[in-house]
Amino acid sequence: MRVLLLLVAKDLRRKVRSPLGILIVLSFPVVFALLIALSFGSRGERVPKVHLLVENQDGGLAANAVLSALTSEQVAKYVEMEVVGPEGRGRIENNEASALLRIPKGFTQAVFEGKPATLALVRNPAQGILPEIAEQLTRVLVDVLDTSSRVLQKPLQEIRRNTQRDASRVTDETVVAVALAVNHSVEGARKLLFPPVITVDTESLAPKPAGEKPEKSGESASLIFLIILPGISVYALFLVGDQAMRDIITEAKAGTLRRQLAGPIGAGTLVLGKALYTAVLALIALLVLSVVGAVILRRGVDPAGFLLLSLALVLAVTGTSATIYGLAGDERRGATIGSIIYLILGFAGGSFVNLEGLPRAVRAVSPVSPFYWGTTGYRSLIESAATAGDVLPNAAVLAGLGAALLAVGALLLHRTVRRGGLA
Amino acid sequence: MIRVERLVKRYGELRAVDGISFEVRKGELYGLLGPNGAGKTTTMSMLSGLLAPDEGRIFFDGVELGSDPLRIKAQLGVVPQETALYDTLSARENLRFWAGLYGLAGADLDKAVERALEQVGLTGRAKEPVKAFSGGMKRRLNLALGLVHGPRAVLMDEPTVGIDPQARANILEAVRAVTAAGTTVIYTTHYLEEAESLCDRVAIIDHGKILAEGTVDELKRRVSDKQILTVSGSFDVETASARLAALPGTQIIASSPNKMILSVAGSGKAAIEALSGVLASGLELDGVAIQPPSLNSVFLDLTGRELRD
Repeated sequence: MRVLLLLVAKDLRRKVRSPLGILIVLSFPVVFALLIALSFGSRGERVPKVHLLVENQDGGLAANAVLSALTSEQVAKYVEMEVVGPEGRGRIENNEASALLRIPKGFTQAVFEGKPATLALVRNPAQGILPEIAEQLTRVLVDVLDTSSRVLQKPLQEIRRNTQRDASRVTDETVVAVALAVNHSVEGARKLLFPPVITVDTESLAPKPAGEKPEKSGESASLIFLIILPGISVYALFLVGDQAMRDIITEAKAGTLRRQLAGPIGAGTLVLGKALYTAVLALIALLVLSVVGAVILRRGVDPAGFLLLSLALVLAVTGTSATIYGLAGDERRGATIGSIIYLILGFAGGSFVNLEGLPRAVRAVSPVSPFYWGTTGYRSLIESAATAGDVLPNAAVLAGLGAALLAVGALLLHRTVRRGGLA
Repeated sequence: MIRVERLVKRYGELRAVDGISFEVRKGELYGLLGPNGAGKTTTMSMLSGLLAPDEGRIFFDGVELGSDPLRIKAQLGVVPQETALYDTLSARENLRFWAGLYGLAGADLDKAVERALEQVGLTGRAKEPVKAFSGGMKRRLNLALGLVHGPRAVLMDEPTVGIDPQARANILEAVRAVTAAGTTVIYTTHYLEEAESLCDRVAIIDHGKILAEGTVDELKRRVSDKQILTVSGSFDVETASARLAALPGTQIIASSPNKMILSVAGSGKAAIEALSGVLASGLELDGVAIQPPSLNSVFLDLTGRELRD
């Protein structure tokens, strides 16, 4: 135990003397959340809507489909659409809207004939991230239209032929023919179409339904921070763990690991010491982030629940990093594998995007990620005043996963160190 | 105190250490002298328990290293070839960590750290971070880390590589002081002068094998009945070989374009006669040198190569 403490104290002292890496990682959640908040241009309680002007020069069926997509119930939560004439560009220049979408003349005909068609989007850079949202939304629409235009080529031509004739003369046989053509096309493209490519479904940005716990009066905590901070903080903690565990390879390169192994300590003690250091550093980082979070969000949480979840998360952080570096074997491979794994797990676990905003297919695998259990646990502690009992499942999964990964990682690292692979 | 029996370490087809055996007595400074790649560091890695030998055994005070590695390693000090230090910590913090790792604590630890600092002349710089140190200072601290816990034996692997003469002199002085205090030292080097001036006994090692072993004088005596002549000039190897091999009592031990090394049997008189023969050989010469008996001439005689090649 004395040797373990000695190893941890030495590593912490080194970290204190060279704190840049850890400071960057710790400032990341706050800076990231702050940037997002600033991009939305508000510390208010709600995310402002995208004010999208649409200049419909076409007026055809496909153009109207775009307009109805933009006024659909789901999109309307985030986008306030206004159909305008040629004055649209001037209004953008006067900062009266986030973006202008221009549907050119001949757009519908081009869609029906499968020819190239271009939608023009004029962004207003003065409105922060809102024009970006408008652009992404437009791209989604374009993707859907493009795919539909290609897949439904035959039925679209059938519709076009019939719309060019007198609509009153459309027979039952024609309707059946179009329906069958659509069915055949969709069947043929089933693999491409299902599951749906992208959906816009960020429910938590919408107004809270009545009956849910209201925010305290005068509370200045930003909703953006509330949404982003827990997930990004969990992600940052895993990065802290990664930095700490990577130190075993840094020591191998510096020759100090080899020197320690030439002394009276075994490879197992060394690996255990590094794991303990990782856990201690993650715990310190968690405390710092918690203080920052408490200052920003100004919300109290159940201390028992917070402690339970945090200890389990620290175990998961330690286990994950130990496994990554146990598998990697060298610094570069470890850093690369680590970055990719943390990004994937972070994305799938809802660290960057609210879980409800993730594609359904990704949401289905979210529980595989420890980030998911950490993020949802902290969110429920902060947003729903959850107790230790409520976050027990999260803590149990994190602790179980962490213990298993730590066992595997420690074995791998021990084997590598003992064989002189790192040294 | 340290006994090595038929030690072998293979890396694929290469036998980095090829059946070496030697014994080091208590308080002795034993040198392993050989060129780079001779197997010195691999031998030291096995002695310090970092590498497991493929064959052979290592004993410390009659106890086999593999039977109780942690207890034996606690009595050893290791000074690796690379400066293995924590750059962001101070010299004193480095020493305190390593002394603690070897079980020292409290007042004993304080005393040991101050003694080690003094031993390598770093007391005045003890508080500075190591990253601010010069290469020579880092080497001195590297040595101190291997000595701080007062080991019974120290394994020093080329502790003076890549430093200036002043820093080297400081380190050699510290090494002498260590052995004078009764500590057993195994010292690897490829510097002839270090081995000659420092070691009680020297093993000449090449291609993983010990070629010769003994005190410096004993080794020199191996070539006392031979004179080594180095002949350089503008000539091709075949012509020069044919002419010089014809000289009485002369054997060519190494040849390369524009350079021949000859071994001449006999005393100084024989060397002078051989020299006259070389001068009369008709070869276009730049220089001829007669080497007095040295570890280099021993190495030349044994391997046909100079240690510095």
